[in-house]
Amino acid sequence: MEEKAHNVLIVGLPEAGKTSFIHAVDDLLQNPPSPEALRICGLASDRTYLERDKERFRAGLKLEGTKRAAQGAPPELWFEDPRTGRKGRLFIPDMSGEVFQDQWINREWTESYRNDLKAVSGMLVFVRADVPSSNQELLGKMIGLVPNEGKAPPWDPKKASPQVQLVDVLQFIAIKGQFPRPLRVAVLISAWDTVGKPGNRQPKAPIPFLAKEWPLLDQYLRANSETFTVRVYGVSALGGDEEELKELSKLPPQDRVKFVEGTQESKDLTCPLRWLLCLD
Amino acid sequence: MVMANCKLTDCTVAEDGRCLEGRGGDCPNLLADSSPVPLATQPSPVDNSNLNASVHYPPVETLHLGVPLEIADAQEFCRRGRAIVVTLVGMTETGKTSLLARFHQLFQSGPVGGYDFAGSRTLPRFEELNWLATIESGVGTPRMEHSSRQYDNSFLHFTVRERVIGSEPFDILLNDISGETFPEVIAAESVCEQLLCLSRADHLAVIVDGAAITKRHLRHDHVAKAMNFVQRVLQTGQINKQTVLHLIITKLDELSKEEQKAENLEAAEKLETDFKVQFSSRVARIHCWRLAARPLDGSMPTEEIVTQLFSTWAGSTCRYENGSTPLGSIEHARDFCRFGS
Repeated sequence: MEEKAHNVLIVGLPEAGKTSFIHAVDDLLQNPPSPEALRICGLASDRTYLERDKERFRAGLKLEGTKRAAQGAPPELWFEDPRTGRKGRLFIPDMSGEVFQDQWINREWTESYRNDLKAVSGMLVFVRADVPSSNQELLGKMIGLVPNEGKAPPWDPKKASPQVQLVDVLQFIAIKGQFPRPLRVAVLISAWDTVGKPGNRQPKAPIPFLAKEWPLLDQYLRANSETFTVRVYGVSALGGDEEELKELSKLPPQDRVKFVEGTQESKDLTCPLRWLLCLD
Repeated sequence: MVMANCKLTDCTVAEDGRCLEGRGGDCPNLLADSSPVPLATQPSPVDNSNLNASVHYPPVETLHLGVPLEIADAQEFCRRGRAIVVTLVGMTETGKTSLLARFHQLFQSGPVGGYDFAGSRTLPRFEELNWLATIESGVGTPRMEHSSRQYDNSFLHFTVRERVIGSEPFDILLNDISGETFPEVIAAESVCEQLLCLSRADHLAVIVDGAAITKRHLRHDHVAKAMNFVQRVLQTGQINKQTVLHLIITKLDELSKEEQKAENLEAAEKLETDFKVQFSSRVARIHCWRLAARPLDGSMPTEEIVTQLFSTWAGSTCRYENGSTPLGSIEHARDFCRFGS
């Protein structure tokens, strides 16, 4: 039986939900939500990275941010597609969001990262549903509400609008990366559980959500259709916020997750991977 | 990263990578000094305090720097396809930078004038321009840095794509000439000739401060200088019948204040009329605009007008008539020749 290796690039700023997603997919492969869903076909020889935080994730606790430094073997998941019998190995290097922020600030990346881009089968881009995508401009009635106090703080690239930082990181990939085009890109809007909360007036479907809440990213991806083919999903890998997880944690992790594509809700977080890897 | 030094004392290439003359790596004034200079103005996020000489860093590759593009970069964009060059000029504090920053802000909220944002090589610079107009910066009243003479021969950049099926992405290069240079151009033809980007401009936007029009002691000088500037660049041949001329009166909030409103509006109208009378036959078209890119009186920016302006810049020009192929009749068929040398 063919066992193809697939490399997926995960891109997102710090605390965008990348690590939680990897843990959730790992647990979901072990407990597939439907007979057709991707499932585990064995354990990778080195699961050190995944097992390090597993206990916290399964307990519904907030995970520590991923460190910048090298973390040994990247998370590797062995999966099988029950519909075709095809097996594969999925490599998802859990790069720290700070690595991408460093690229934006320092305007450089490692050559090894650039070389690794040649082998990617697809890209997962993470944005958060509950974080503003842009810095708020001082306009209208807000002007003068705060007194000017002496010298203004100097420009700090780290404080630039998140969507601007993220778009520039994607531009680096588009301009310098050597990969077959168009590359499949799944945009995952994390913390999707917050969108359905009472009083929340954000769009309830992922595509209009991205257009309204992360407009620069949305335009950039749509306007570069020769480079990227895009699908947009809503995900909640944890299922709720810290308070809600006290109650939710009575459920196993695979039952807490939320996943939305279009208007369809499910628990199958592997859908984006299935699409990225052309398994459909 | 390695940055060269320059033999010109005014050149800041060693600090920020910007060639004073906009010639990039081909500048004959560069010294062959290869001592490394840190490019980023921010401290490295890595704590180096405990590192010793034996530490090896992985090889790195430099990415686009995000600073305004030099002429050499702009020539690359012009070679590869449709590229529209817009030059903005005006006295200091007329609102040129606020207008440029407004385009960036508008794209952060959605498509502008029927165009999607498709990229920009100067995002960090746009963010820097906007920084002191954000709540995150901690200022109470928005501030805007003055355009520096250092950027006279450089460009901010957008790639855009019209939201229609079958459209192609194209580039818009925004050349912001400093308010310090503006009167010097009027004073001396030799200064004018140093504005290398102007001769490639599809659009020349002359910005006049609406607040200055409301002040009798400033009005006449500002109005005269705007006219003189156009006269000067027509005389040198840096603009001609293929250039679209825009008169943009900014700070509409100030101009429209009730106090002496009629007088202010009359002065604005006279300027617009004079522009048309004097220059209509010598340029391709004239557009007049009144807008407020960043009003300070509690009103909101005139986004609709700013959007129309952007859409006019991005639309057809005498070089490109709704397409990517330059018109045959244009002088200097090879676009990049027109940047001067």
